[in-house]
Amino acid sequence: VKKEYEEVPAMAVNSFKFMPRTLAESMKVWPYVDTSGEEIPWTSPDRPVKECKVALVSSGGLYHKDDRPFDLDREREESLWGDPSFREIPRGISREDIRVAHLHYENCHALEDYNCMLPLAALEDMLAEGRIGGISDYHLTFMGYQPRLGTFIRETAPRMAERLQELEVDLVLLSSG
Amino acid sequence: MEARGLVTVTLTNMPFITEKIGAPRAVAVEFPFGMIWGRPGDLEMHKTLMLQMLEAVETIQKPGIIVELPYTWPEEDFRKRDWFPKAPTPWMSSQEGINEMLEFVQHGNPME
Repeated sequence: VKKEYEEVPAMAVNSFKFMPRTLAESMKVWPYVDTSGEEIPWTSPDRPVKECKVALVSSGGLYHKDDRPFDLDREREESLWGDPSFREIPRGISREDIRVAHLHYENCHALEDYNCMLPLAALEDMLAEGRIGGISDYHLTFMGYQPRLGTFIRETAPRMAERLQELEVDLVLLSSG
Repeated sequence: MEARGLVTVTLTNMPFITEKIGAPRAVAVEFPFGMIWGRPGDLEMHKTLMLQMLEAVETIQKPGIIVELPYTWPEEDFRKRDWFPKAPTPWMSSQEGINEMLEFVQHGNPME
């Protein structure tokens, strides 16, 4: 039985629960990119989810150990700068091959089991259970500390979208840090 | 991505921001930074959230809907406060960094 969700009037999920108060107060008045004059982009699925090829995209700063880390040295020098590039994580990557470069959350949990940030095991189970149609050969990651979003929005995001289309992905599951 | 024909659904732990910037479809959960899908090793929770996201793709019919999930972070885990990085982030590490951040929050241009 399909049901259509309605907007929740008052949010039950507390967005600031896991933040120090000073950071929470600044997030409430943060200069977010103004999208108020724009319609939210929308693509209607052209097939059932169980036929979709799926990719994950995470802002958790994960990368393959043979790849270039996100540049934390420059952020240490220039603290309002965040590396705006993205990385690719191959399907089936082993725990030993994952590294994390992100200074804004404790990385040890993702290093213990990257699935708490990039749940590739759950995705394989979805395919085995027939709930999705396929899994992308690569998943994409970036480092989510981006106070100045210009380069990320103008260059990185369109490149990520192009790459996902090259990989013939239908459905993208995004998750934040 | 959505404008280029990809269907997306976002898992967020900050629906306050997700609502402000506008995401086509989102699922919100009150889990900490660094463990947004659940604790390491908790495959069942990772799968539960993923199933909710797949269901959201089937059910959400118009942009901007955020589905809030009822799962809570266990109180004994909350007391560990183990999602905080051990070192302060660069902008918090010096008075100069803090001043620059305050200036950015008040007058900054996020599209720079």
